[in-house]
Amino acid sequence: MELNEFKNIWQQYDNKLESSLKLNQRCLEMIQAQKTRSKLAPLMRIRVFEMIAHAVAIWWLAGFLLRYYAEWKFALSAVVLIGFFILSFITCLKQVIIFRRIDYSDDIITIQSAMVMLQTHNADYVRLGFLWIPTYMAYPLIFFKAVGGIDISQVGADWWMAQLIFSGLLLFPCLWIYRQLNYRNIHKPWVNKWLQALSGKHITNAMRFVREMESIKQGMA
Amino acid sequence: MQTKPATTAFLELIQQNKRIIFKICHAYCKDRREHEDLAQEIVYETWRSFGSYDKGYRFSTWLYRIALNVAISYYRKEEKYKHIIPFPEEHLVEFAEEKEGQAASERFSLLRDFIQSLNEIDRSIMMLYLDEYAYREIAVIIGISETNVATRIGRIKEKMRTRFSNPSKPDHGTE
Repeated sequence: MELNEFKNIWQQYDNKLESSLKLNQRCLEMIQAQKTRSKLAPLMRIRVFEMIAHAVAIWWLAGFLLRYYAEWKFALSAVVLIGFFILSFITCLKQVIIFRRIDYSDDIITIQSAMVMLQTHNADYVRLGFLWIPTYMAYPLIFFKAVGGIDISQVGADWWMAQLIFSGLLLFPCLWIYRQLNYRNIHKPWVNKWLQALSGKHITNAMRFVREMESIKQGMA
Repeated sequence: MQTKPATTAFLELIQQNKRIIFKICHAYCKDRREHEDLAQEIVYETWRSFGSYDKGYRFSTWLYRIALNVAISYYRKEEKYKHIIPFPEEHLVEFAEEKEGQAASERFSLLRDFIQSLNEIDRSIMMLYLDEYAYREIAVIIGISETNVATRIGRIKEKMRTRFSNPSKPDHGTE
């Protein structure tokens, strides 16, 4: 069959579509009366709650930093964790910004990319988790100091040094993995496997879709 | 807030352009329950955005944008999230499915199967192309350049040629 023939078939189909759809006006007025909110609103409430939780953590750690700024181990640990929570806060903030910009009457590539970016939030936490790994000692160090006034670094200088070396060794591989684990690299089998295992298949599918959207926009796909 | 005349104006515009909704539902969903759910979501989202409708656009172009966005999002949703309808007791939209049955012919079925085999974006482009939208309008709806639209339509035509010169080999798009 030729393309023109398809166009004719499509037109015939279009012409036959009469009274196929009935609208319920009462229902429409109910929507109006209820001042409907987007179905994405619950998702955004979660993001706002996460932002508040991160802000509280930053505020508390800033207080801890002010109290122990003279003791470099605690000060450094607090700075590292503040940095970590600021990144988490920014991640949530980006999601809220995307959410506020979603308008279905915008073009398809823009909206579909934005919708999918909202779905991939869990993958952002997975990525941040890799940044957290080299700083794992900061948590117990601050926790025990804040809760019981205990300085766990007093366990022994050798043990402490070993932890520092281990963290130092982890730093670059974890930074590298953090940079690699994003939708731009989803075509790499190991990135796909890792993200699928850590955040689910729906996330990797969504990431592939974002990548496809970008390629379409650039005329590459 | 929308006023009563806005409801009437909206209903009239939807009534005039309901074929768009019908065609999109059939292109993105296969079973009847999904058709109604999707049509409901399209009308619901169109109504929510109606206050910001820019009269600089043809209503059909504006509706196409919203309907395709809703349809692609719906199509990509996991099954468990598909049927969250704001009014479970009452249907916002009702389909008279037998009309589609009348419209269907063997050749139309071939065309519909071909459209459904394309990926989400090419499916949108193909429908707009068959509805005789200009490349410029398709570019505005999809959010790509006119050159890009022309390239993609060229590729779809090529797929069509391959598919219909050798109908035993279905093409499953790039999904």
